[in-house]
Amino acid sequence: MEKEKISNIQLGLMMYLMIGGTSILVVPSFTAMYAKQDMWLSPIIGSVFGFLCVGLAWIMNRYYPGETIICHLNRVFGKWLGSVLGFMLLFFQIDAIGLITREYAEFIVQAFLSQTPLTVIIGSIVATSSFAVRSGVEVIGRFAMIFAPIFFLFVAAIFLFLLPEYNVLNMLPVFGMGVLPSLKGSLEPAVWFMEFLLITSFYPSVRKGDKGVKGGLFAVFLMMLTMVITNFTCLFLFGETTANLTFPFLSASRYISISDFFSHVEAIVMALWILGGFVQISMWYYSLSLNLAEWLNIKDYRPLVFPVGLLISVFSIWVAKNFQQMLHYFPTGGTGSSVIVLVLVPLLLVAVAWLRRKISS
Amino acid sequence: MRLLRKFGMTCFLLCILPLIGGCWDRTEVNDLGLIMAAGLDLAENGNVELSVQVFTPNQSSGEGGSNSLMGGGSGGNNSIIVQSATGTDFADAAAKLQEQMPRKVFWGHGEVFIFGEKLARQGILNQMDFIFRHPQPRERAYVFVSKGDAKEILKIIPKVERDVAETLREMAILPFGMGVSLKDLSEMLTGRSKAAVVPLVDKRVEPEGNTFPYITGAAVLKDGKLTGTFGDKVKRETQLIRNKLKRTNVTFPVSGNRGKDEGMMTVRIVKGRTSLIPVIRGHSWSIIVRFDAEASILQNETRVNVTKPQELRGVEEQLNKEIEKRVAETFRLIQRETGADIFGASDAFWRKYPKVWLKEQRRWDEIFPNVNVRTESRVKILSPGFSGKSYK
Repeated sequence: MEKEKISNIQLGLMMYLMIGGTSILVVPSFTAMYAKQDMWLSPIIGSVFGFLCVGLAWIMNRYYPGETIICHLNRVFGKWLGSVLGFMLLFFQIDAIGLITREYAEFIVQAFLSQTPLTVIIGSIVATSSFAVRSGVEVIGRFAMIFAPIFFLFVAAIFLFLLPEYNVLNMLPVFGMGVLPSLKGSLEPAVWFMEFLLITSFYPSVRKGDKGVKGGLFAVFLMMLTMVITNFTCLFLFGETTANLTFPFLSASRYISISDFFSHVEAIVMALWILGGFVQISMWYYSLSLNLAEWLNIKDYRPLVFPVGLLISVFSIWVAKNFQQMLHYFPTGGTGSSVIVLVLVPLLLVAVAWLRRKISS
Repeated sequence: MRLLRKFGMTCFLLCILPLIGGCWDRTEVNDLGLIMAAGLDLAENGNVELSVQVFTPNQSSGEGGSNSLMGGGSGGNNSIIVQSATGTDFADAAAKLQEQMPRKVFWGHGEVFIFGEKLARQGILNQMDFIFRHPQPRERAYVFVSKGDAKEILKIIPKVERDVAETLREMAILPFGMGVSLKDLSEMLTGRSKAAVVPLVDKRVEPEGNTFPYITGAAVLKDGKLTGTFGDKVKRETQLIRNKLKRTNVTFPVSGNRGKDEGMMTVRIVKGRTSLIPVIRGHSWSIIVRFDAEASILQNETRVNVTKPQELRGVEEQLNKEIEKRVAETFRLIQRETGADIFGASDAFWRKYPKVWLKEQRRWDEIFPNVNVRTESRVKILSPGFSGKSYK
């Protein structure tokens, strides 16, 4: 297992950034599509899944301390079934990280560097992340420690700078069309919250004596807060037109103008995106490499880092033909596969593990 | 071995060095033609003519600053050029324009978009799509409809500000002016009422040769088509109903105080706040426009002693009556002449009566012209100004 250790706070901030980056840009638009003026409620409802997934990961960690989810699967379901489920998880992870990398690159190409080839942006971020991953979890942890607060502050700053422009009435009527739209809208943020299950890859690295569950729950809460803030920003500023914007939060940041001289600050969102994207991709990358090493029964994950990086780059190209297809994937296939791999399988895992312990004792 | 690794690393880093500069998207400032303002007019055969005001950065260095200070009459600022191109739509015209220009067209600084009256009558939705879709134009750019051709407005060389774009932008952000940003317009066009109100600009030629653009009124768009243009008063009252008017002056007649004091009085209104209160009773839909503000007296042509609290009450009452009358008149005028809900009444109904709204929303175009309006002005006069009694 890894010798490097991270603290509880680092764990929380890492998990926050692991989910954070991509959520601020696309979640407002998706939730607005279904939940309309109740879009701010959706992340709160969706966060239930985050708390659930952290809980599941924590229970498994208590049952079998110091092991990752691949080991858990092998132990609980036996070698064959465990390996199959483990492969499923790995496949889900490579697909998801491909999607995340693609999302990261698409945003940069769409919004800022329109002439630059996608592959160059993908290649450069994957290369950078691969060095971070090779340096181990401690490095990513420290990076998160520095940048997660900045990330949150930037999000809060954009919300505050737009205060004079807000039309608070946009949030009325609450539950104008019943509860259903906001429940539907919560499905999208829920997908992001489900990803908190991957905290299992980091629990073994948390320093002993720390209560790891707190770090995870803190991250879920912070993420929920961030999503509520971004959704409120878009709702108060754009109202229901949010659904029609590709990157509502970027558009919102472009609207900032204080006293006619403090304006044109969308570069902040770009910086935010690159910071968040880097940690997010590194975390997923690390988790994938670690799980893959475990699955293949290799002691050290480091030799796998570069090959996995190549796979990630290739998958990020394969995952969608174009931007529309990528966006279309989230509310359709993305939701389904996340529910299966990140919620149902772990639930089953915990249930069977619990039964086994019951029987053996 | 270690040395080799170091060497390899260095080579690798050197290799990625050219990449991190982002060379594909390298843009030099002196290769850019910054679009400051753009105007669209209807051309022959249903084409559109795009006219833009281009700012070319390096030409302005040196004399640019002094030139605008001195405000040389005929020459004006030579770094600002108006150029036009014709195409089947906005994007096509923009491409043609690019072909005419040695510099790369950059929309990121475009702060003013003007639609000519003729084009606006035909509908602006198709052309707006380009502005919304293109990544460069900013959500805070302001939209206007011009009386006559938009090109004529762009050609003006104003004396007070640097150029037309700056003039119109400044006018749009004044607290008593009227500005509709791209964001506001998209909200109005896609909102429940599908109606929008946009400031109307015109050109004024003074006999002494001073020519300047100014906001003369409001243009009402229904489903993206211009359905009516209204004057200055309607513009002000519309802004008031939409809760966009923070400051204004109101001149109103004062009469009846002991039968002899007749004349005009003007107050300056600040901190204006309007709320629309919808009421549905059976089949009758009505709306209450409530206006709260503070006022101070600006000019007094009557014998009323404005320093006396007891006399002030009557003045306040007459002021509120005047505002109520004007607001109701404007509301009814827009209802009658355009049938376009530019006040956000539909949103107000939806917020208070979501269930009824969902049932009746298809009929909104029939309902709106028959909505009863009641106005409640609650302006308080808080100060007599720096002078006490009038000089009568």
